Amino acid sequence: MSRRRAWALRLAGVVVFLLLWEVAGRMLGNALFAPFSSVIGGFPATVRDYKLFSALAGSFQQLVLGYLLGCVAGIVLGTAMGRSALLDGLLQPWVSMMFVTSIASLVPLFIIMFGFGLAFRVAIVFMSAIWYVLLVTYHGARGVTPDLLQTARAFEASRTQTFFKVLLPALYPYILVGMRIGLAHAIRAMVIAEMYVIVGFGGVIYNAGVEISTVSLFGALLTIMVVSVALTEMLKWFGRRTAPWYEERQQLSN
Amino acid sequence: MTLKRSLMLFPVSIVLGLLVWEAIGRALPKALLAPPSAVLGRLLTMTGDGALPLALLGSIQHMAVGYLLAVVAAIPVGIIVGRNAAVATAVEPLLNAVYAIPPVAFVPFFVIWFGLYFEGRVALVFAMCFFEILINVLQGVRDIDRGLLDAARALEVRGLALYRKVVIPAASPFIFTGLRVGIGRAVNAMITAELFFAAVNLGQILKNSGNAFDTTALFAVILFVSLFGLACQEGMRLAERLVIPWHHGREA
Amino acid sequence: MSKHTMTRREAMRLIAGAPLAAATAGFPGAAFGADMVKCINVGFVLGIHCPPTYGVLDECPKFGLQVEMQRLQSLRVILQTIMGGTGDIGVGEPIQLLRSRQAGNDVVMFGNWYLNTSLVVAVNTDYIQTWKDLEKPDVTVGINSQGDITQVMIIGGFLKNGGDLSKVKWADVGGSGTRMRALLGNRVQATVVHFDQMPEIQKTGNYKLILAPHREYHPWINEIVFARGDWLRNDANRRKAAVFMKGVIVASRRATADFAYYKTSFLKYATLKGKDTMPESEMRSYWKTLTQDIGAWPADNAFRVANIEKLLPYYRAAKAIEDKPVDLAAAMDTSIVAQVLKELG
Repeated sequence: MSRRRAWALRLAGVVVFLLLWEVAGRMLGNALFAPFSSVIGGFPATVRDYKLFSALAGSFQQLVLGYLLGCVAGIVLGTAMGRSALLDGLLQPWVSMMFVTSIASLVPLFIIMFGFGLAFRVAIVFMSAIWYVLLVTYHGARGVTPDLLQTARAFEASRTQTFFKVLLPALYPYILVGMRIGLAHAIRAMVIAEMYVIVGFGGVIYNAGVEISTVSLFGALLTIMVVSVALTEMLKWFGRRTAPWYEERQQLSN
Repeated sequence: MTLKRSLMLFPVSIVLGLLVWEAIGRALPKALLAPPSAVLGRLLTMTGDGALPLALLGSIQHMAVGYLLAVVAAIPVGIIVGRNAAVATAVEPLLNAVYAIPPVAFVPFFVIWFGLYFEGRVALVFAMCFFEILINVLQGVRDIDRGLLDAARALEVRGLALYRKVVIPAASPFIFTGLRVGIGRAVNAMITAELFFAAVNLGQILKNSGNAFDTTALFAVILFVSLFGLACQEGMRLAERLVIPWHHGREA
Repeated sequence: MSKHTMTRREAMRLIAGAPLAAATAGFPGAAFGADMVKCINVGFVLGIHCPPTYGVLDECPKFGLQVEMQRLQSLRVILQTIMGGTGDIGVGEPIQLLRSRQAGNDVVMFGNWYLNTSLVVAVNTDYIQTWKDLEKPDVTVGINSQGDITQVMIIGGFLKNGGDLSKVKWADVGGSGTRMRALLGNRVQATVVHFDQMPEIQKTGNYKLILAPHREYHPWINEIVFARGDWLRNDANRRKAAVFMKGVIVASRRATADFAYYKTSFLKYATLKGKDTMPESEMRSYWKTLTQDIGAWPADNAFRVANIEKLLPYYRAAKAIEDKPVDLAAAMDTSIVAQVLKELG
C-alpha cells in the first residue's frame, strides 16, 4: 500500500471518530460528554490552567523507565519460562496470580516501600507493564520448535548467540505484541499512579475530573490518546528497524 | 510429560512465594501486610463457611458475560481487520488512542450509559479485556507466512475454506495468547467493576474488609481471587495444549 | 572518662546550644535549625482547605516548623500511609480513624483541620421534594462508599426527619466527580456534592439542596488532624504537633477576620481551575459563606470530645463503625489544642 493511501485511510478513520464524538457530545452536553468542538475550543484554557504539557513532560520519566525495565524483565523472564519447564512450574502460578490482581491494591504497599516519589511511580508502571510482555513472550517462546534450536546447536552456537540470533527473531512478533500491550498499560499505570499522589499528568486528570464540565478532562484524555498513538508508532518504527525482515514475511495486502 | 512436571512444581512455587511474602511482611509495619499464616487461615474460614464461594458465583456472572462478549467481538473483528489492509490502517490509530485511557476514566460515563449495576459491570469487563484479545488476534492474522497463503491460493483454497483451513489455524497461537491474557484481564475487571460500581459480591467483601482495616480478610480475598485467576488461566493454557498441541514445541 | 571531662563537655554543649535555642525561639524567619514534619493531606484543595494549608505551610515556618506536605488521592490510603510510618501527621476522616482504632491500630486525632464542610446533599426535585421521598422505590441515593462519611451525612438528616432506613436504596458511586455525573445522568436522584458545584448543577436541571451539614449538625466534623499514638507520645513530636495546630489556628483566625488573608491563601493553594480568573466578588461571597454561614475556621478550633460524641449515633446507624463501645477520650488528644490556645490567648 502506498504511503499516501495509508495516511489517507488513517485520516479517514480519525475523521469518522471525531464526527461520532461531535454528534454524541452535542446530544449529551458539556457536563456529561463534551463534544469535540468544545474540547478543542477549551483546550488553550485547559493547557494553561492545568499546565498540561509540563505535567506531561514530567510524567514521561517514570513512564519510560518503568516501561523499559518492564520490557527487559518481561522478555527475559518470558523467554526463560517458555523454554524451561522448571522455571515455568516455579514462576507460572505467581505470575498468573499477580497478573489478575489490580494495581490499586498494591498502591498503599508501594507507597510505604518506595515513598511518594519517582521510585513509587516507576514501580507501579513496571508492575503493570511487565506481565503483558512476559505472558505474550512466554506463549511465543513455548512455540519455538525444537528443530530450530537443534540446528543452532549443530552449528555450535553459544547460548548467547542462540538467544540473540535464533530465539529472539523467532519471538519477534510476540515480543512486539507484548510490548505494544505493555505500552498501553504502562501509560495507564503512569496515569493511575499519578492520580493517587496527585502529581503530573494523572494529577491533571484527577483535578479535571472534579470539574462539572468534561471539557478539561476530555482535553487531557485527548492528549493521552495522541501521546499513545505517537509512542506506539515509535515502537513500530523501532521494530521495523530492528527486524526489517519481518515485514516481508507478513501478508498485509489482499 | 513436561506438562505434568511443571504442574507438580506449582505447590513448590506457592510455598516459596509464601516464604517471600512472610519475609516482606516482617520487614514492613504490621498494619499493612498481614502474614501468610493468618491470611491462609482466614481464607480457609471464609471459603469453608461459603462466604467466598457464594460471592464468587455472583461475581463470575458479569465476568463471564463481559469476557464472552469480548471474545465474540474481538476474534471476528481481529480477523477481518487483520486481513484487510485498508481497514487495518484506518482503524489502528484509533485503537491505539482509545486503548491508552485507563478504564477508571470511563467509569463515570459507563455509570451514565449502563447504570450502576450488572450492565455497567459487564461493560467494564468488556472494555478491560477486549483490546488485549483484539491486538493478539490482529497480530496472529498478520503474522501468517505469505508463503502459506500463496500455497493455499495455488491449491485454490478460497473463501470460508481459506479461513477455516488456513487463516484460523495459522493464527491460533496468537488467538490463544489473546484468550489467556484476556481471561486474566477479565478476572481483574471482575473485581474492579465491583469496586467502581455499586459494590456487590467479592468486591463488597473487599471493600468492607478495607473499611474495617481488616488486612487479614483483605488479603484473604485478594488471594482467593488470585487463585481463581490462576485456575482460569491454567484452564486456557490447557485448552491451548489440547486444541493446538503442535504449538507446544518445548523440549522435555 | 572522668566526671570532670563529662561536665565540661556538657557545659560546652549548653553554651553552644543556648544561642541556637534563642535564635529559633519564636523568631520569624528562623528556618535555620527548624524542625521538620511530614504531613500527608488529601488531593484537591477547595476554598475551605486553603487557610489551614496556608497556616501549616506559611505560618508554621515562622514558629520554627517546616512542614513537608504530600498529597494523596484517598483518605483511606493517607491513614494507611501514616500507620505505616511514611508520614508523621495526616489529615483524615474521623470515621475511618475510629474504625481503624477499633481494628486495633493506635492512631490519635489531635485537632480539626477545619470545621463543618463545604459538602452538601443535593437532590433531583423531579423525584424528591422531602426527606420522606428518599424511601421511594425509584429513588437511589449515591454515596461514595457504604458506611462512609457521605452516607452518614445523609442518614443523619434522614433519621432526624423520621425516615425509615430500611426503605432506602444506596449505591456506591465513588468520588465527587462520578457522584455528580451520576446525579446529572439520573442514575442517582440524591447525592453529596460541594456547595459551589450547586449553581452549575442547577443550571442543567431541577436540583435543590436538601441538607447543609452545618445547619443540620452542630457541628459536623469532616476532616481532622491525626498521627500515630506512639509518634505523638514522644515529647519532641508533641511540640511539633502543637506548632502544627498553632499554624492552623493562627490562619483560621486571620482568614475568618480578613478577606485579603483568605484570598492570598486561596490563590496560592487552591486546585480549582479558573481560580486565577475568578472575579473578586465571587471569591468574597464564597468567603462569606464559609465564614459566616458555615463557620469553617473557628478561632478555638472547636476540637471537643462532645462534638464527635454527638455524631456517634449517626456513625452507628450507618454502620460506619463497629457496634462496640468507642473510647473517644483515648481517640482524641485535646491537650495539644488546649496548649496552643493557652499560648495564643
